[in-house]
Amino acid sequence: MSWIYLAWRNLGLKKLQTTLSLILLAFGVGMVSLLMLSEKQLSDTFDRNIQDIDLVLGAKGSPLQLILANVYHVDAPTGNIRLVDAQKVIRHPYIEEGIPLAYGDNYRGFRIVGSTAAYLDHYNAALQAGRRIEAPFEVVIGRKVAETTGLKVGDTFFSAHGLQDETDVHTDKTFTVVGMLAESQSVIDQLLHCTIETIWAVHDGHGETVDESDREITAVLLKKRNPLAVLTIPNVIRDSNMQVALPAIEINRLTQNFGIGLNTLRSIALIIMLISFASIFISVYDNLIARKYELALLRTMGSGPSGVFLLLLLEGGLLSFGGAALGLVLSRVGLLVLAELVQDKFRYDWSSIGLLPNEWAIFGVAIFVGLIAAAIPGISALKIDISRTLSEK
Amino acid sequence: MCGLLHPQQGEVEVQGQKISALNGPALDRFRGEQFGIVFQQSHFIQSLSVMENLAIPHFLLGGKFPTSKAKELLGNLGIAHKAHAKPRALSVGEQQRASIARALIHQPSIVLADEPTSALDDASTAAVIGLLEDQCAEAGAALIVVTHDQRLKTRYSNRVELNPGTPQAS
Repeated sequence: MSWIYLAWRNLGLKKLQTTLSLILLAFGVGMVSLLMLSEKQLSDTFDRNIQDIDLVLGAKGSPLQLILANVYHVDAPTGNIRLVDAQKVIRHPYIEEGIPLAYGDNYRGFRIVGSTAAYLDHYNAALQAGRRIEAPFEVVIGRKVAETTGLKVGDTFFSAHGLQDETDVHTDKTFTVVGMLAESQSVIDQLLHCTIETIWAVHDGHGETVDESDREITAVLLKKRNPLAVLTIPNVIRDSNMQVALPAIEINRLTQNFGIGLNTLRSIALIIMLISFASIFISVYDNLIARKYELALLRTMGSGPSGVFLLLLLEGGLLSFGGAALGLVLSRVGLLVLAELVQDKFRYDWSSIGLLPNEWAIFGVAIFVGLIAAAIPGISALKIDISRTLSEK
Repeated sequence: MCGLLHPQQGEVEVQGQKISALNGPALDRFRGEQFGIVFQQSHFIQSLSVMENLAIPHFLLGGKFPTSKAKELLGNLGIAHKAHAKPRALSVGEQQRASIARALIHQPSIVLADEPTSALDDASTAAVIGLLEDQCAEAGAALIVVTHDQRLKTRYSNRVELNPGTPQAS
């Protein structure tokens, strides 16, 4: 026998009321925590991939599309740009480094991206097996690609034209997997890497020689040397078909647009939480009225007023603890479901489910408010007139 | 007398302790230790079984709950088979007997019975009051019965009759 046991049994006596309070609080806490988790995952994913990319150079079009296509590889590219034009920008004194990207083919839905060694270095890619690319048509595959397609070092495959479907297969050009990357939790996990020359070779006609000045690439990831680059580069490329976009700004804009929806959800979650606290309050208060005799009885048997107060507090505490814990579990389940959906669409892996500091805060606040909701009826329990209560009825 | 109400005048002394001088938790505790109370209507913690209800005084006052003694007590009162039932599932007579068991379990020095038989028929009255007397005698506790039940009056030599006027000892 203990106060906790007694509180537990008392809650068990009112199963429906207890269940309702638990469900309400679990949903409130669950929604708030799910929002926090997905926001965190989203911004982590965005940040990890932006890293030190200050500017992206590509064909004119939607700047957001340019970023999504070339930094995250989730959108179609805006078009091609001429290598000679791009090189003018890369060699600009305000630019420290430019990583050219060329792509247009896929293998089973994963993009085959031609670039330089700097691209993999940029994301600190480490080889898990095999070696780096040394010649055209050699490919190093990302972790996600290896897991999904089952490609191994030494395997060969054909690429398909386009970024999604596999109808138009280039059966004349054979790619060979020479290396496999360790997991990096960034976009390179979902790509097949080769040289730019490989991409060109796939698309060149047989025996045809292409003038070097007509060579095209898709985009260039730029790292600035001087902050003025952001202002200067747009002027440099004004008369071309190119544009530059700032990943940080575009992603900011994107999340702000998301934000309106998130705020609405957040308000709904908070309202559900408030209702659940009201439910706990009503539940404990209701119990207080129904069990006034029991509380008076406890007093006649030797419990001080503090014992009775503690009992009510424990009932509220158990409810809010249970509800909040259930909510955190619920949000994890929700995130896993969401991750499945997102992974199919965007091929991003959301799997870390540790407790965020903010969630600890929500957990603490939920229990605290639950205790307060129980303490209010608890205070009136302190004032019970034992003699009068027991002689009523 | 057990400190549920404070006297407007004078003092109440139980076992050498002036309980009119006690307050709050100390009074609750003193009452819990010294008194076993049988109410007119039986009150229980509804969420607990009869046996668990019996364990409450020891839990509140500290000390180990004597399970075998509780079983014996319930056996003497003829409700051993109801030990694990919820109080609600007991008949009025059984509830009254269970509350007698609870009043005695922690060996109080005084058992207060407030109209213990008002809800009972003649046969049950005789049985309950008999049990109450036997159990108190066995536990060495003083028994104070408050009643207007004519059936009980003749049983006791020490009576305080409260008339609208002043109390008179007889």
